[in-house]
Amino acid sequence: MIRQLVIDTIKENIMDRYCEFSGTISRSAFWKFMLVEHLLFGFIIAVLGLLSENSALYVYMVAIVFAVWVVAFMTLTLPNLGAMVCRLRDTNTSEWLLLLVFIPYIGILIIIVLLLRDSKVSSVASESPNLLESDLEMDQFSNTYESVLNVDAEEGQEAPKSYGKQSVILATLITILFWSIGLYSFHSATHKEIKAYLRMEPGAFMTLAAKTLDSDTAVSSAKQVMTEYYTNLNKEQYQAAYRLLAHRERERYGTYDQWVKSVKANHGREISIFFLDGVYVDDDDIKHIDFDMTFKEKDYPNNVAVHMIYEYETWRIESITPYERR
Amino acid sequence: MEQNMIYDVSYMEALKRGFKQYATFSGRASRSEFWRFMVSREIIINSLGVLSIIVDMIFGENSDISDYTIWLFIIMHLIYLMPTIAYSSRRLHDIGRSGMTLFMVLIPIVGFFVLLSDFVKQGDVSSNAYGERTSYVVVTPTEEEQIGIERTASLREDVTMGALAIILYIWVFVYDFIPAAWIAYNTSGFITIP
Repeated sequence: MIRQLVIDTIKENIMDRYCEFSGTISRSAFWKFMLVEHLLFGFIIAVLGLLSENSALYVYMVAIVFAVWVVAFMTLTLPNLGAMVCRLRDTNTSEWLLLLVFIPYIGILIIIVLLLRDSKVSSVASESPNLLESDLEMDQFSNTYESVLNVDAEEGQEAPKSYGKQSVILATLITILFWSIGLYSFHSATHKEIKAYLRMEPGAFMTLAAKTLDSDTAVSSAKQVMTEYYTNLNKEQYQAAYRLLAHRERERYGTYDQWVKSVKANHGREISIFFLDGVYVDDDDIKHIDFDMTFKEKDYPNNVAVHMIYEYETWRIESITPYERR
Repeated sequence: MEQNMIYDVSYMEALKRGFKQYATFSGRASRSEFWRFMVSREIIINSLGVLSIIVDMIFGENSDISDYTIWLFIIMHLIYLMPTIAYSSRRLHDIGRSGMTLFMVLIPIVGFFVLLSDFVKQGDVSSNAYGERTSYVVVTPTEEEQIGIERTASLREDVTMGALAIILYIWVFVYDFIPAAWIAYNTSGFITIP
């Protein structure tokens, strides 16, 4: 039932009239085309959404949805445009009204209302141009493989296919079900992944970061170095804190004493928010991590962007840059 | 050779025809042989992409073999460049346009879709300024041995090859998209004082 509906709609709208801009299409045929498209997309989104709840597959599912969107955009634009133009011609409105879709929010709604109007062309006038085309095609030029093989079987009449309201209603309900399952599961999976990312708990992005840096413990050991640095500063153990810096940050203020003097102003800071901004490996195979930290005190500057680098088998602080969050 | 052009082709025949006539910019090419050539091109090139994915997984991403598979991919694109351009301009001759309208693809978005709608149109029904029709006689299995050309591809073969081309394309696209998105995200994640 539904399968027959899907196959026949696809055959008629995509395979037979892929880019027909010069005919008409009835209201039921047009909306069946739209329904079948949404049914197929809904199926893909539902399956991929349910699969994306798994952290390891999350990024791949998002990428597959994007890829399917690209393929669908390239292949289905022409049939949809053709169907819309034919539908507008069927309702006796000008096809240039289709350009109204570019109005920001209400354009699409206007077009949907236009596409829902009654067919205004009389039945005789609408059938004859289509009849001529199909006669021409069937008699002379469409000798596909099957039609040559089945010459004997073509004698019987073709009964007109009708699906009744039942299969269309069932298909609509299934489409709504698929889309809601898909959107809900993608939404909840994205929430979960973003929360895990902000707290640096294991999740899709932490897995990707670990894969980029080729180690599972890199991010946590770097985080440990950062917390150790600020605890040392708070306890005024400047030697231990100085050891955790990389060369560039060490020499930023000149000598050790000048550094101690400049750092004394940051005395007594407590970290309140701490998350990972990104990781990468540069061309010389050196690993970098970027962190973003927020402190509990409200005095300026409250946020700090930290850049860490992996050298001599430990993570060291390459730069600490205060910034203001806009 | 001239006489063989009237036969509707299978996938191997379309490939052979594309490469034998890689520089033939006169004459016509019908829809069926053009699209069968394009689909087989997509399948072959994306199979090389999948091969490079598998090699990356086995040998690591920066190994030498991985570099060689990327070179193979690029070389295959270059090998297919001339036959594709020649076949496309013959397809445009089939609907009566000059081959120069192939340059419409340079117009950003609209050009691509206008060209695509040209490639999908039915060819002229009789001889036009560029020659006779091609690929309109079906070859059934019984005639296969008599003529020496493979039989025409059936609808089921067409649908299978099309689905295979789309799946391979999505596979290669996803593999390239993920690291690119991750790198783009990381390099823009560092906030500095304005």
